[in-house]
Amino acid sequence: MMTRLSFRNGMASLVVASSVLWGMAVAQAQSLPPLPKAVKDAGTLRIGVRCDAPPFGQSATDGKPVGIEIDIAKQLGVYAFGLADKAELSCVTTDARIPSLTGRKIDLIVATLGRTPPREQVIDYSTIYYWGSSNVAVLKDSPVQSLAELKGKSILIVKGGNQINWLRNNIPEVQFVQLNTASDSLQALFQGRADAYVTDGTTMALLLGNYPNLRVLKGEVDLGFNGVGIRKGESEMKAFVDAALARMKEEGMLSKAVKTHVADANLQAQMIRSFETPPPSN
Amino acid sequence: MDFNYILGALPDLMKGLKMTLMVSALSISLSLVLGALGAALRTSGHALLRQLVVGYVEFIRGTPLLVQIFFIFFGLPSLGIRFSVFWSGVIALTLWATAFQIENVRAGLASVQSGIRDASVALGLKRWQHAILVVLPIAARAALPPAMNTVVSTFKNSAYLQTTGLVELTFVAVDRIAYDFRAVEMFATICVIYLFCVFVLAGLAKLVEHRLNRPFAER
Amino acid sequence: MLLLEFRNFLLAGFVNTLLLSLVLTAGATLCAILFAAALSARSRVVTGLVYGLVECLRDIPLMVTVLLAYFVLPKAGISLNPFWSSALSISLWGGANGAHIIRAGLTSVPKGQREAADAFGLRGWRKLVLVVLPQAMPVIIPPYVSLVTSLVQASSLGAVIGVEEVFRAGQVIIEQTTLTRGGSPAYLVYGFLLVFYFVLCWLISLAGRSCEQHFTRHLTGADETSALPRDTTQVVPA
Repeated sequence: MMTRLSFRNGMASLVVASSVLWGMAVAQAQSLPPLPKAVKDAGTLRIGVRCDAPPFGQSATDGKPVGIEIDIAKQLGVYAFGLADKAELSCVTTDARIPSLTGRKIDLIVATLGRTPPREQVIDYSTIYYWGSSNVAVLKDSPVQSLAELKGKSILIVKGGNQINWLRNNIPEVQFVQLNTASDSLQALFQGRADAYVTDGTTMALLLGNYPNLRVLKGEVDLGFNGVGIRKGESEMKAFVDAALARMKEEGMLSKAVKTHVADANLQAQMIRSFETPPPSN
Repeated sequence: MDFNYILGALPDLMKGLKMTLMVSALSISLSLVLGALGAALRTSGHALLRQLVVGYVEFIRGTPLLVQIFFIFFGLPSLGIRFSVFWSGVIALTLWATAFQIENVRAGLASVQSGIRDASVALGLKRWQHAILVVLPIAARAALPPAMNTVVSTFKNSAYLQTTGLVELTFVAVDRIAYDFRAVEMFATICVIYLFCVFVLAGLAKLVEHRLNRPFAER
Repeated sequence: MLLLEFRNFLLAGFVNTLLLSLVLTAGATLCAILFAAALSARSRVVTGLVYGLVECLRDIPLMVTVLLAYFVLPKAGISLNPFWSSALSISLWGGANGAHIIRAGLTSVPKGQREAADAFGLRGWRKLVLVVLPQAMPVIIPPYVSLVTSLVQASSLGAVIGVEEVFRAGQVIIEQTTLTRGGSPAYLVYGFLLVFYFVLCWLISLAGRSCEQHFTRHLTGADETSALPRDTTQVVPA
């Protein structure tokens, strides 16, 4: 039996409840660790992103960058200074992104940056926000049927790609042809300049959708883990970014971003899994 | 500056240098021959040939070498014309250098005074004898300095080919930097190597000039 | 049509190319003047050092210089974004080449002119600007216009380190289209870019030619106020 609530008591509990809720919301908003002083004084967060790697980051017809990682970067700007515009986005290439960070041209890298031991010696990483394996593809009419058959053959890879070590260790005498971009490598495969092409699972899924004459070899190459790149020793920044990424995951922002930028339902499901679930054996 | 790292990288760098030298040597020889041919066409009586050569020279000189390389390596395959990385590089460099050599040789030919032709006729020399025995030595001496200049430039421009994945000297350096981040060591090393090579090339060019001019040197 | 679809993106790249070319021309001119002045200095140390620097800039491939400025300078504390990094390296290279052009032009003016200027009481800046430079210009301008077109073409090197100029815009368009739509528009895009650069450089040489005509009008008698009789035209000194 419900006790009869007097009007005054009812109002009082309403006030208490809403102030507690409001306090929690404020506390949540304020619960992100502070930015380093230098960045706070600068007033903008300079973030390096990809502008040629759909769906993570690409250029819209008006030249502005759009994509999942762009959304992440903009959200970091919102958390840092309250406005998405406060995240100053600049396009980086795979081999210039780390020197741009260490050279202080940007403050963060949110550009499909995989975590590898040599890179960890030079920069710090946030918590992993995306993981996935890579795949090796060949032309449909190629005689190669498995990864092992690539022994002594050549594989196309984007410069600075982190699949090189695993491939070197697992396929004897394999050679690499390194080009600047994914499309260059793809074109080179079609032109017969090498026997196979390795890239991350997402890009491969995109390509398979558009190029029916590609065939993926069974067997997944080493898992790759993507994190936000941070200059070495900037623990305040790392704390901020880690907390921001956690908040984004909680709010389901990442899944929303995937749905906005990826059309194919299968790829959507695969990517949401990679974004939302924790990486296996980190 | 970690010298041990440089020593460790030297084998790869030397492989890259070998590729640089091979591509440059091929392009330089081809461009000298084609340049002379082109200059002959340029000064021939045939109007269409002349225009074609002029059009080719102006187009090459008016467009960036980098875009030319990308067009040949990435663009032509859409039309079904594909070459290996090595040959794309040689073709791009040769096309570029030939345009400049054509101009150099043409300037050399123009420096031959008109009276010389009359003198050859007076001496009873045939056209081809006049061309090879009289014009060629004079024109070659005049064309030599700018031609040697273009030769050195061709060698330097081989560095552009690193953008197509040709494993030449600059590519090796940039590649290693992508994995090991030792920018200072790598760039210092390749700068020294390039300076040395250019120095040697320029020295050879001076030697050739001296030898050719010896008959005219004051005794 | 792909090019029309991305026309705003290409236009933005085109504006950046123009901007970069202007910065490069100004920067290279400044560097050339500084280098040329330093090379004529009295101190052997200064001349030697500057000569060494100029030779290094001219002998090391421009591609290497551009990459070097971007990757190595931050280690010395100078961290520039791609635009200014390439502006710096290419301007220095342009200045090194321009210095030789300027010096060749200045030395082509007969010594007697300088002595006559001194006799008239014109010293230093006045002598340079009123007497020496106008006569040096016909010799300087043709190779200098050629240098300016080289600088415009060199702006495409910025794409390698990420400057968002028109060549990079073309690369990005090709990249995305290849991945998301299938097929490669490389032939179309790079062909278009070749034509674009050609038109730009051609316009610059036209401008250079009218500049040259301005400075040689005193030799051809085309000028109303020229003291030369109308029918004696002199050949421009080579």
